[in-house]
Amino acid sequence: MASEVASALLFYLVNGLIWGLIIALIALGLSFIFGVMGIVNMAHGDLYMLGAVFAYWIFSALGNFWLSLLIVPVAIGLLAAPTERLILRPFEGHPAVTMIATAGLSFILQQLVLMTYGGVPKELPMPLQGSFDFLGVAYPLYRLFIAALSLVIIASVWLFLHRTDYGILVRASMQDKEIASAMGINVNTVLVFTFVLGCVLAAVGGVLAAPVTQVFYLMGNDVILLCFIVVIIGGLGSLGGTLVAALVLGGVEGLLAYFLSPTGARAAVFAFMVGVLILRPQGLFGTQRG
Amino acid sequence: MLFGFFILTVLGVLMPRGPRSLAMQTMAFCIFAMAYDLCFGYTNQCSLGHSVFFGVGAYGVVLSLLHLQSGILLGLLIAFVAGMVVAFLMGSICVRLTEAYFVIVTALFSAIFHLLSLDMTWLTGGDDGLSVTLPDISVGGVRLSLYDPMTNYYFILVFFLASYLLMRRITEAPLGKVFISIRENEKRAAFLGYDPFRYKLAAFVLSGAFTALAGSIYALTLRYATADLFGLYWSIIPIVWCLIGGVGTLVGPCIGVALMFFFQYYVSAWWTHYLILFGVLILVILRTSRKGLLGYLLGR
Amino acid sequence: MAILEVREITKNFGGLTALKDVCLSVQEGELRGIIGPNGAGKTTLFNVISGDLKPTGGKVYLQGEDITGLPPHKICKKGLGRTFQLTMVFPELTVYESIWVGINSRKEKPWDPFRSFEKDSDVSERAEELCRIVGLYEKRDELASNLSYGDQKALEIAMALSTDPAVLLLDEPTQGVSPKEAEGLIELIVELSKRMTIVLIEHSVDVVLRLCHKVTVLNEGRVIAEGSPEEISRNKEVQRIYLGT
Repeated sequence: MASEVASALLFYLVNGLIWGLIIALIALGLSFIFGVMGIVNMAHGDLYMLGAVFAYWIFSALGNFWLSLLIVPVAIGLLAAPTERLILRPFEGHPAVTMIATAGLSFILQQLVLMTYGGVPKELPMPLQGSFDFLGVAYPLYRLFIAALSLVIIASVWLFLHRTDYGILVRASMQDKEIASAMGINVNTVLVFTFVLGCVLAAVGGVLAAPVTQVFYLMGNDVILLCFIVVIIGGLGSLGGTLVAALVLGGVEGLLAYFLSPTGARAAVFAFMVGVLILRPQGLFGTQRG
Repeated sequence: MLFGFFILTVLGVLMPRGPRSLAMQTMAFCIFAMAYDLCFGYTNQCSLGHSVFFGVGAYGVVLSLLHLQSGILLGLLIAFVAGMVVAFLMGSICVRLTEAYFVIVTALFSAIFHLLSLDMTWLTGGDDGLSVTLPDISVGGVRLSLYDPMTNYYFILVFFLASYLLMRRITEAPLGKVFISIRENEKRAAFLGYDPFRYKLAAFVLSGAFTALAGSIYALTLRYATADLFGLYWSIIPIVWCLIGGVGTLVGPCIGVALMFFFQYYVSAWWTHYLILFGVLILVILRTSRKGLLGYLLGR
Repeated sequence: MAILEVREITKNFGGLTALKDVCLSVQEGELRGIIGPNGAGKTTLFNVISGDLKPTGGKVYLQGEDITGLPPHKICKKGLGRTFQLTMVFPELTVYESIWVGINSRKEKPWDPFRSFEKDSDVSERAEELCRIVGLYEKRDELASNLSYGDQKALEIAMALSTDPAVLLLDEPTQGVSPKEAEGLIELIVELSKRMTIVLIEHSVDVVLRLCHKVTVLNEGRVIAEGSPEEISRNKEVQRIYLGT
């Protein structure tokens, strides 16, 4: 009996942690976009949704889930670059205004998906069958794949930011745009690049999540708040912080889901976060923007 | 604006049934929009938590009718006070926070209330909501039934008018000037002897109370309340109303509501995805008339 | 007894010391000048006195009362008014309204929604009087953001006066203003100094030496000299700092 409880708890915990990794991917994108461009991107959750919807379409058309991991980043990149240049550029650097503008963008994206994809939640089959026995818990292989790939992506982003010249430019512009442009950095390209990178990260999160959740045109609304919290708690532009915050959040929510209903668990997590935000109001949103 | 009320009074008699019930909801939303403007337009607090007050107001009246048999007028009063209390508690936590924090924490509150109301079905009825039958109102020996469409219409019109006059009184009185001075330059206002926290909290609480009133009147027109009213949608939509019509004017947000309703009911008739137009409209407004609508947000 | 007394104020920003053991004692009715090169800590001193910054150490007394570390709105109520070097007006309020808001803060119930904005005669009379005093009566219905920079500086002073302070801190009131406007502002300051205590930060040493009863010189966060204008102009160290010799 006790061991049953323990293994159930473990199952919930691992589930939560994997969810946390997906959140970390999306939140990283959000964090870059805010840090470099001063955009509070309310439409970020919808890029996650777009990733999942694209994955569904690619699967229906080609019968192969894995291809979407290649196609989606390219497609999202092609969408994101002109969006930044043509729509968002004039608002950048004014957080409150970008927030409202991207909320408008969010309406547009959701409705476009509703028009083309429909309003009914759909499910994808598991692309990987089989499970993995771990301390008496049979764990689906695909979820472990999510964890592995997320970690690989996060590690590559870290390597890119810290070990390549271009990554250092991005970090420099996150510190100070004026100094960065004084150093001869082409801030324009950095802006487009950051936005594309941020959006692609969210979309990949969506692709990975597609087979384990319901693909639905409003699914972005479920993650956007979580991501904001992770970014604030983890610290702006801090990869490690974002990862840790996302894992803690995912893990705690996973465990609470065992005791409470899923909605109750999330409410408890949010309430906890309100507490954290109040006790640590000097957090990075505050200090960076005054 | 008063001319507008005159027109509404006349229209009440002339309007066919369908548009009249739309007009009743529109008036409830106008109270919401003006209340939001008190917070957003007058003290520059971009709250994403107003769905909390809207929902509290709706449940306030529905629950007092169901469990306290309170009667409609007392029910509305309970809803108003409940909104005030919740806004005071939430505001004491949120108002101190800096811009981005304020937005996120108020949004969190909105999400917490939404999730809890979905969860606590024994109290709220969850997604299905709670229905209520409206008792007659007796004022000075006259019995009024809100099931009579005409009575219902004028009942709401009276509350709309009263809310507008009260809020206009507040914004045109010294208090309103203090709110604006805090919006314009919080630090300078502090050096003139005003505690920015207390005045911003006051605006937040007043805004919350009137939002709750709007929620309770909306619930009366629907004759039920659901957990949906706590959803983030109801926190974002008042921003849109205010932006479209012009912030910091009370009248502007009402124009925003009217425009939005036109979209919702007439554009959606030939194109269900009117929200796309809506998103485009937001972007266009932000792009073209920043000075008029968002000048103060950008000017800083 | 000094009306404004600053005792050994120290202010550190991280590792940087902006003020070190600064003492300042201003008598009632005095017009005190504070001069010093850029970065000497003059504005920081004002920010500490007016409650904008909390000092790392030391005390500030206003009319004998300890006001150290109180928030700005409380210090304002105790009788301190200040202006800002870079003007901080309310862009979307008119001249009259801006001053009105300041006077209103001294009322018993500044928030009372049932008081009328137009019909409060003692407030509106005082507001019009202040508009006249600073020479903005003709422009009282202009939005603050539409005023010339010099007029904004005058409005700054009127707003500081509106709370009826016992001590007025003026932070470079003539900076960035045309010579003609500066002359008007200086006359205004002289006029005001007959009725209240003023502490004046000025970039122009000549102005301070001409107007003030007593001058304090700050350099690198310390008081390096204090005395009458004659003493200061003879002081070797002050000459060294200003002439760079």
